[in-house]
Amino acid sequence: MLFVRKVLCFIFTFIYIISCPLVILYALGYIYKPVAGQFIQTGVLHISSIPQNADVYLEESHFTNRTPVTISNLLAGTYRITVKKKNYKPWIHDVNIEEGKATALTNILLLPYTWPSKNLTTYSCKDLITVKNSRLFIITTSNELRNFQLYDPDKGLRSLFNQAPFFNLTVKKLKKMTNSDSMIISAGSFLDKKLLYLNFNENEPNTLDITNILKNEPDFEIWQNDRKDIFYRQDKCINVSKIDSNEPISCFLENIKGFGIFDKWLYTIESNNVFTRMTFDLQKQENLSQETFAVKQLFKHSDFYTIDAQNKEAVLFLGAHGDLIVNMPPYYIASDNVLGYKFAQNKKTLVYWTKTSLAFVDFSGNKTGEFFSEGFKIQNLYTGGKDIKQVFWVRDDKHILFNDADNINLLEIFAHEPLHVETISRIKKDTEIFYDDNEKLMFYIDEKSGILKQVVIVPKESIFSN
Amino acid sequence: MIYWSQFMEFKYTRHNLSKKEQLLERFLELIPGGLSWLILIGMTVLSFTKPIAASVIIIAFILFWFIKMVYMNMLLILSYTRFNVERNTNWLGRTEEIDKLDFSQKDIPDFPKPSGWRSRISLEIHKYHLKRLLKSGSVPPKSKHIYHAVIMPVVKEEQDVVEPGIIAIKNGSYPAKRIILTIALEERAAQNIKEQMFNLRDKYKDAFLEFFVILHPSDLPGEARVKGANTTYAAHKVEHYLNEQKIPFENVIISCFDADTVPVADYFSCLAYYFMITPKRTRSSYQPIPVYFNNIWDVPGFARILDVGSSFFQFVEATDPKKLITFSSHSSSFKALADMDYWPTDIISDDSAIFWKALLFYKGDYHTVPMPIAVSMDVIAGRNRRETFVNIYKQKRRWAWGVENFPIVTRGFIHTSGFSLSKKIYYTVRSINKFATWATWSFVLAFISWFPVLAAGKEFASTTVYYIAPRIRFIIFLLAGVGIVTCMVTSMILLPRKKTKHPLFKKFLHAGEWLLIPFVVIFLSSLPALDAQTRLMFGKYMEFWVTDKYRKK
Repeated sequence: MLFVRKVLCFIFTFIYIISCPLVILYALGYIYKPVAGQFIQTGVLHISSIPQNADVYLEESHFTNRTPVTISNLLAGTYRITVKKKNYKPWIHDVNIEEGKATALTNILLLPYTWPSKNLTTYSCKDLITVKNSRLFIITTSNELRNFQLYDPDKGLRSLFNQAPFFNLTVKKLKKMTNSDSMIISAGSFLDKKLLYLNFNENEPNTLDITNILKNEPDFEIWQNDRKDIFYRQDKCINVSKIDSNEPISCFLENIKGFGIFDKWLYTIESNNVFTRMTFDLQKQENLSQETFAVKQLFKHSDFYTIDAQNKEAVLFLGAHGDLIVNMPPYYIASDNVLGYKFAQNKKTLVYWTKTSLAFVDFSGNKTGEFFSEGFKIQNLYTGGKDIKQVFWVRDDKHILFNDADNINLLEIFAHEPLHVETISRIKKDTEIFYDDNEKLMFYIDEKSGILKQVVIVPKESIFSN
Repeated sequence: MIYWSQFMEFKYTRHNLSKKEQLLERFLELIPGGLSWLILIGMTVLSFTKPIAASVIIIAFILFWFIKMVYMNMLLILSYTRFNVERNTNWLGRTEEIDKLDFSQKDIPDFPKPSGWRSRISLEIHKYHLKRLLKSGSVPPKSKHIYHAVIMPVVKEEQDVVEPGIIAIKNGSYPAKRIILTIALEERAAQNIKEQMFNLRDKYKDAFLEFFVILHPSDLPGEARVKGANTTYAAHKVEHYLNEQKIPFENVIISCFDADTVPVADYFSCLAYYFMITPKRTRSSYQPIPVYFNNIWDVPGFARILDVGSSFFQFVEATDPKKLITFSSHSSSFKALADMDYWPTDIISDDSAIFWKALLFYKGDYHTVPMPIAVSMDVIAGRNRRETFVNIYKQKRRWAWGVENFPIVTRGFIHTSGFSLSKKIYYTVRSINKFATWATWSFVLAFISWFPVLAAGKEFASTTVYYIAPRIRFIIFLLAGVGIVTCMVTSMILLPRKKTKHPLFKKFLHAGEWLLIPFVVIFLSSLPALDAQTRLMFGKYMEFWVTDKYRKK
């Protein structure tokens, strides 16, 4: 028995000594080419799609396995990948395979020939008004407050003002808070103008008449701290209206050319370009610009800057002229024309837009260790726009939904060969769209019928799939 | 009385050491646990910091594990076949054939060709053994002059646990009148246990050459509360009896059985055969295959799987006498044990300690001879599943506490001259490998092998390894299913029939229990091993814990 054991031991040791390096080489992407008589390093391609079970073509070859699929032993080079599924448009992409590297095309969103949609009203709507940081939005059929409806994903549409004293007022102007889910509505006649404060924090929105404490109807951005006080700019002053105590404070801060509120801090750029933050009672102040010449030069392009400190790693400054600045070298993301930006879920990337273009900023590679390393990288995503107004990140931060001249477009980022941009629908002129990324649903007013519609951007059953 | 052990260079204990020896002992105690934790923590850290390197190591490891599993499965089949071949062997008849061997001749006598392949293979093995004995010139004592001394330590075990073993010995094929049965009873045992043991003696004393119940006083100097102290005390009394009766120690085989051990009918005949046929019979221990079948159908599935797995491991171990170390119930030459003053009296894991003590005493010239025969014991049980789980965990931890031998044996290697360096290195490396493997394998396979993928950063996620390694692992695990099927089939063949209306259905149900093996291996094998090693590492020495044994009445 000992002899048999020794023989078996020898055989299995031999098998291991031979197979172990081969398996490791295979894992590292090496395959043996008998013709060349040597090992060649290959690459791997992983493809997953939404929905799954789509056919995969590599150049002309059709793979028997459907998505999600990993294709190994690919020689280095560029391949045309096509992902096909019945009732969906083919997804075509040129991918470069490198030796020893894996290229992952994960969660490719296959776009249907017909977008699954649903009518939410039977009547024509006038406008769709979104609310910052909220799942709720407003639908109007006229300018009278009685015709303002609130759309709640759980409860559907319901009247926003259905009783006195406000429901007969006619809305003149509507101003959304920059950093909270509240808004100020200017309504009523010229002689009896009302300024109403609307807070969407609760499921039942709260309305307050703040005509007495808001000295003037704010022209520029309005901010709030914990839904208590309203901060707004007038000339070079910051005024405050205290809702709880019904008290207005004129020129709470003066000589200000930049402003923003986040957490417990009030951020300002003073007229001398010094960047500071302070508590709301002004007891504690910190100079953040470090008195360097370079930082002081940053805020000279615009008269006023909106400060966004929601992301601690990348504080943004959007100038009135559209210059977008970040607090890391080389500081300037764009020198002009920027209309807005949006951080992705991961907070490490953002997309900003001008009237005609979309660009992507990546802050994640700012620790490269290179001597003159850049703090961020910018990549143009789209340049064929006409009038880009709204932008939303869609699922996994791989797609962008944007409203361009009343066309709703879906752009797949990083898929430039060819560019993957798809028009989903046209919307009523000068209305907004609302996108709920949790439910992957988009809401808009149809251009022709004026009906409020809902479109499924990503099928719900595949939201969590790979 | 003078024991040869008095002249032994090294005292097999970790107590009463000099300062220098204490430091060395402490350092060596850190090694097994330290290595296991280094593997677990090192691989975890590597998975996060160097995921490619970690993946490559894990692939090499999983492949090694798989090939070793296939290899062990083949050894299991081989060992089981060997076991099966000897099922109908007339061992007593064979001892008489050895008696007739003429050592002045070069060749063995002719044997009539038996019918059946099993008998033919068995005969060939027997002939090989005879030739080896003849060649060695080591003349064994005549079979009728061979005596068995059986010691059964008892502290909590009741009559219904101990009696089946006594009946089995009495009714076995070996003449009970050449068996000296000793119940080594702890003085601290409950009165009813004492009464039951004395009742057993009165009931069966006439069947044996002698039946002793020896009370071991508690807390004797130089002793810990361990089984070895009790059995050594009893062995001294047996020694006294042998001297009185003028029975040479060279003719006596001593078997130390757990109280619940039920040897098969041919056990002592087989043992006598292997004692006689082994050229260095007084420098050997004799290891049957311990199986846990006494109450196998009365315990929960996880307990059944674990102990069937333990039996399989012993089957595999039995294929290599050079590597075999005594375990559980086993037998030894009385002379060897008497020369080295029996078992260590302050070590918990005396089953393997006796081998190490003998190996050091005989300077490497000591072996364990595997025997193709089983002794059946109880699976640890409790009053409910939870208690069974806890009791099994404690028992496996006690087995794993065998790690306490490592620092003592290694010190012994350092201090024992005339023992070849290569053998010392071999046994040291083998021990370290065994303990590290025991405590880490299942954790690496079940958890750490996933870490590189789970912790993958952008850089690692863009490598071929990230995608191919899980695929390789999946294929290997799928193939490893074949190993589990082998275990399922073997266990279905090996296990005793259950007295039930649907035995076949029950056996298939048992086959399905093998799917519990990952859980069982992690929580009832690796974890107790890691627990024991960590305790030793931190100097938290274990106390002897008497296993609760319950039988369905």
